[in-house]
Amino acid sequence: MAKLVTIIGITHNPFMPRLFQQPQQPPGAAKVKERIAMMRNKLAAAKPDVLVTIGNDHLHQFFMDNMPPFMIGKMESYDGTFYDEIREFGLPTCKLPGAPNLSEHILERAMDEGVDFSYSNELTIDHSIIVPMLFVRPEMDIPIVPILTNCIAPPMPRPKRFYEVGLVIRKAIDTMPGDRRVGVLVSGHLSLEVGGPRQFERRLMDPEFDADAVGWIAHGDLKSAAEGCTPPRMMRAGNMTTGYLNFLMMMGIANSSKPSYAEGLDAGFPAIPFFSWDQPS
Amino acid sequence: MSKYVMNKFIHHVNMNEAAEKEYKHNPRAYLEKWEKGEKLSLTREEREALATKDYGRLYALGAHPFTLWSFTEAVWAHEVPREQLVKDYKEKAAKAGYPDFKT
Repeated sequence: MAKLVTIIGITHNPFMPRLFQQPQQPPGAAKVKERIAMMRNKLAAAKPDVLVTIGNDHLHQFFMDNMPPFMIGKMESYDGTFYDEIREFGLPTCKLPGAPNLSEHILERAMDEGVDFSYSNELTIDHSIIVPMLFVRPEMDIPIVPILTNCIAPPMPRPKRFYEVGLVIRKAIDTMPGDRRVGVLVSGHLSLEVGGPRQFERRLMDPEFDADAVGWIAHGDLKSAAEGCTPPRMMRAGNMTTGYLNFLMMMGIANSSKPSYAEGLDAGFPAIPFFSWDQPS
Repeated sequence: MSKYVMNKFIHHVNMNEAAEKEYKHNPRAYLEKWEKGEKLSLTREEREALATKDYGRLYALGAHPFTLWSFTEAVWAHEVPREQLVKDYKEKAAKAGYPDFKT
């Protein structure tokens, strides 16, 4: 059977790859780069053969004419990214190898377990997967199984559901035939605002939410997470704070076990999440 | 459902280089042409806001904030310095607070 060898949770801030190339960088950038390098080393040390990459689509592949709660890609390879992301963020176009057999396995196994993923044979991925890959595996040489979520267009699946889907993904990984080493790479954020009155502020949007949200994952506390992630509370923390929900899926994949690393980094940006399980139990 | 159509147009302009160029060149004419091909209609207020690139109004009408900012930068940044645009956008958004962007 396959072995889950690492789980990493990280930011997908799309401005950072370009920012980190510039000669003038804000004072906190060095700390962020140091954490990213740490996660890159953790991933390399785990030697995964395949990566299940989880993030939320940002109204690129998904739109409100047909909005799936959760989708799995099952292609031989994936293109990234879209015209508007190249224009706005200066992200590079890229091509990532896929692992369609493993996508099929997760899709089928999840259906057995009561989770009916949408699926796609023509999926382009956006910064929610591109940016974490640029950070922790810039070679982009490990085949991926992309799983996309809706945490941007309300109504969204409930916090508990993100967790439950995570548990099912974990079961599917644990029953994969063969002896592959599987890594999981999840992206999301803590309190964050985009396109609202508080966007582009170089500070923690809601330090109290950030501390709670990191704590729920550090303690595997689904009950408090579900109670703390009501739509009004998340909106108060910032209009795009719902991107945190991806990390509840990560908590499900970890079976609520204690992470090796959990941090909401304050480096003069909205809080930057870093999580890892180095030897997931 | 018209909030959906308003978002559909913003999304279309934001993600397509040709549409972005044509809309920037003549917003009202491009919007009229686009809407003719749609089954669903905009309200008069939504149409006017889109025809005048009025991001403050679009925000207040419940445009999705993530896409609206990207669109606003794309269609205004060549006319207004970005810093000034960010400031004005935030001031206008602050006046509207947090309108429901569910379609």
